[in-house]
Amino acid sequence: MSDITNTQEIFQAYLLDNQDQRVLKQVTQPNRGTIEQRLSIYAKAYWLRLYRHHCDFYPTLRAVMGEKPFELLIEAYVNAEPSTFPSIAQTAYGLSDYLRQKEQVYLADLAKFECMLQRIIDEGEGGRLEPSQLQSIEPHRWPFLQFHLHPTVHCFTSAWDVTVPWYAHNIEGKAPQEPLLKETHILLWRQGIEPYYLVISPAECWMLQAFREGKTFQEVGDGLADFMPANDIAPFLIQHLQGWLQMGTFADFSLKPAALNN
Amino acid sequence: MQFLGFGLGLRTPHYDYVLEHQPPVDWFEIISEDYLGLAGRSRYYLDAIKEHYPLVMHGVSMSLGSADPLDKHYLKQLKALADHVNPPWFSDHLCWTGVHGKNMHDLLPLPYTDEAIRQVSEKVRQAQDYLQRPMLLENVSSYITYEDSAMTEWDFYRAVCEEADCLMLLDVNNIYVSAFNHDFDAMDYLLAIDKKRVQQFHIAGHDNCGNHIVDTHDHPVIDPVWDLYQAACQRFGPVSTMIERDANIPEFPELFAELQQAKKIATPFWEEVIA
Ligand SMILES: [Fe+2]
Repeated sequence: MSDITNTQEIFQAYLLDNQDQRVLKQVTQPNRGTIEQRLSIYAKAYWLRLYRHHCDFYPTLRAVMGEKPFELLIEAYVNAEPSTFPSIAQTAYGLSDYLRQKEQVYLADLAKFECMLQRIIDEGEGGRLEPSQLQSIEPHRWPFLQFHLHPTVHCFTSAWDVTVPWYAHNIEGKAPQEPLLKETHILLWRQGIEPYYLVISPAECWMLQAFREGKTFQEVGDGLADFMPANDIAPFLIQHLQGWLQMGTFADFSLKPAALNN
Repeated sequence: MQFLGFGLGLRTPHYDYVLEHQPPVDWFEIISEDYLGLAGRSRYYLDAIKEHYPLVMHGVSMSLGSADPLDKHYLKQLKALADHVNPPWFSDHLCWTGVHGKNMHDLLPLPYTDEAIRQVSEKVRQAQDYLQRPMLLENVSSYITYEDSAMTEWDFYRAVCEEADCLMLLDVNNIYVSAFNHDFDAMDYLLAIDKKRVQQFHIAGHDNCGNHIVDTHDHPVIDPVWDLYQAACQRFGPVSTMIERDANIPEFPELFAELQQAKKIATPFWEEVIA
């Protein structure tokens, strides 16, 4: 092993676990203060930078959990999953999965919701499907249309209504309570440069997921039979398609390849 | 290469102010890692501000001194950003940020050895070749000295830049901080640096803890750092200068006023170019 590899392994081991004191032998005594004081500048900076980032990234989770439990959570998470990312922003993305592994399920869902809202601010680019682009589609081709969701559009289902504490903390400025056990389907998207969410029905959620999976307009219509009487399907489909087109939910459309010869 | 004048670090709280008021700042430095996804809000502001100001890219995660090879995926993203921004140069630090694929998100010090000179300079060459643009290497603040170090920081810095054939981003505050922490004379540092290689200056504030100084970028620049900046202006001639502020970020006009102080100090030495 080269000297530099050895030096860095030992230094990094100290930052990740301050009990690992091998680094003391690599460093010279400063003229003022102690080696331990000087090294602790790096240790403190490592922890504080990550902790502050998670505080900014998960304000609602922090408020729901309380200061000390949140700090302990981030400490455990950062220790379990040291960053491998170029940007510090990315270090926060794995917290929901970590909470799920620890069976902290409602906290995992709240973290996921808060993380998704943050990530759509700076992720996903590209044009939106304009309603006018659909005007030239011949009626007999409509059943074979596939609508592709814009990369900023996401759906997520939580067993808890995690939007309630988020709204209380971020919009109403109130102390957030733990979320209620209530299956909740959430649509998240970015419009312009702002993130938005909307609680949607099971049918709406299923429909968006079906579009994401590449189901055709016809197949989506057929699938909605599980949610409503046959007579309601066509108006439901048309109303939602129009609404979502206005919101910029779709990036593009295509015709299912088998239909191209029709 | 180009003299850009007097710039500031572009920070999120100032986005709207900059767009609305278009203050007479000569250029902005962006933190490359904040824009790697080239999407959404960060891209919106990047593109809008790019319309009005020259931008240079400053990275914090290349980890040039790490025992690991350069991260190819990161370099690819950085190149895509550089192709989009088209900066006259990009920069990163004479440090390592992690080893074995990890990132400690800090500018960690290197031992000043021949092995480290070879390792860093090789990576600077690779990065410059890949991005097809000049790279500037910045000196960092440090708090410890390794037993293994075999030369001064300035000899190490100079040797790496010569071996890599790259330019320097001289952080005047970092020289001051390290001089205090390691008891050397900051002027010895300045006098050892090759005039031809210095392309950019950083100046910033710090936190003096008595026994040592921590490079926090959360205070205004202090007078001894301005004095050192004056000496640097005199020695190196016209060098693009910017103020870094990363925490406790004040309203834009306050930073702008601080930048005027830099201009006032540099003007007597650079009259012909500033006029
Ligand atoms: Fe700097």
